[in-house]
Amino acid sequence: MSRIPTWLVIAAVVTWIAAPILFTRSFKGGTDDQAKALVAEVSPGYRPWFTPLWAPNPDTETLLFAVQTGIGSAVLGYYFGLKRGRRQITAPPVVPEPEAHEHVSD
Amino acid sequence: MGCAALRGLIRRSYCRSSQRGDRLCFSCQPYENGLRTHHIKRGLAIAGAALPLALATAERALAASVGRVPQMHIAEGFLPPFWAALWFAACVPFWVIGYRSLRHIVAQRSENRLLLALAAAYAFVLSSLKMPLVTGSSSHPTGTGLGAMLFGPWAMSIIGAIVLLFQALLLAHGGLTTLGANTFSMAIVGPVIGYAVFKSARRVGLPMAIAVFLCAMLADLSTYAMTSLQLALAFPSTPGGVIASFVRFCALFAIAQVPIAISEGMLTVIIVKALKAQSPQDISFTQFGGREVA
Repeated sequence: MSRIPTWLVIAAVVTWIAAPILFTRSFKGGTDDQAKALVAEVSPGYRPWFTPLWAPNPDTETLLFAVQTGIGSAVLGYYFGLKRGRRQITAPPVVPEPEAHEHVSD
Repeated sequence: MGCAALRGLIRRSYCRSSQRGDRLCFSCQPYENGLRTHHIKRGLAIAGAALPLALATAERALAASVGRVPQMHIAEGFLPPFWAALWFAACVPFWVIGYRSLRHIVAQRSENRLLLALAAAYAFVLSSLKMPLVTGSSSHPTGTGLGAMLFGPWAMSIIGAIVLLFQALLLAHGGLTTLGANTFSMAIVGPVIGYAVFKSARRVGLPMAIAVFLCAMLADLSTYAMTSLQLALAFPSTPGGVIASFVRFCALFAIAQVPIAISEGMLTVIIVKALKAQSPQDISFTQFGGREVA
């Protein structure tokens, strides 16, 4: 597990995710419409029989996605913070080596 | 003296920029002793950066030749009532097993509640990360592999359903009528496949990091293979039937999901490394500690 350094994995994943941003010229928006178009193409005549009870507008959707990320990240941060804190508290205190007094016994 | 001169010679032969003159490159100077490692590390970093770029270029070329990319979950109303009901029914036994598994996990060790929260939070964060694709659209990972590795495959059937319910209600992403189908693919098939892959990879003797990577990646990919199958069953194409339709949906999903599955694999390796470093006691009670759970 420790063979591959963590920083290398982080660097790789950041590059991997960031590369498409650099390469993409135009953002087409969500993929929902494309999927619906595909269903319509495979099965023309299909009509969705149920619509979402409530759909946020694009700005609110961004907010709610950010809220989802935030809640999740907060829990992850809490977990690792708690574990780190507990380990530091319960770790055996570093006892300084007793100094050798060479002249005590003769 | 002689030793220092020898070191200088080695350093010069390793550092390319110093071959042009007597001066060493800037990054060489602080690494008198760890010279070789330093250069190998730099090479690895360059390779690590170049490989994704190359693959992303390939992905762009592939996507340009195929065209569009579908949605990650099945959208609201986009399964006929019969299939929607069928997938709900298929989920019910797994929800029962999942509930029992969760109770068992918590009863076994109350500290596991915290670790369960972590697995849920991980799925929550990852399914909110809409990653950009070179095709110009976006899709997101599932994050169910981690929970499957920690607690076995069944616990995720509940946790994944909660994530999907949140997204269906608040984000109009996925849907209530398609919740059964989406749960079956993301919270049942994905974790089961991921868990099986993890176990077999460990049995074969692959290193932990590789096993974790493969588990997370294939949990993600199998989710979308299952989604393709669900769509294909509901919408068989007129000349080729279910199989032709399945192949088409799969081909389209693959373009979107293969790069995302790879990033999910890498992210999961990072989180498992962090878990091993920060909470070895918690981990020792899960699959990583070699003890069977659930």
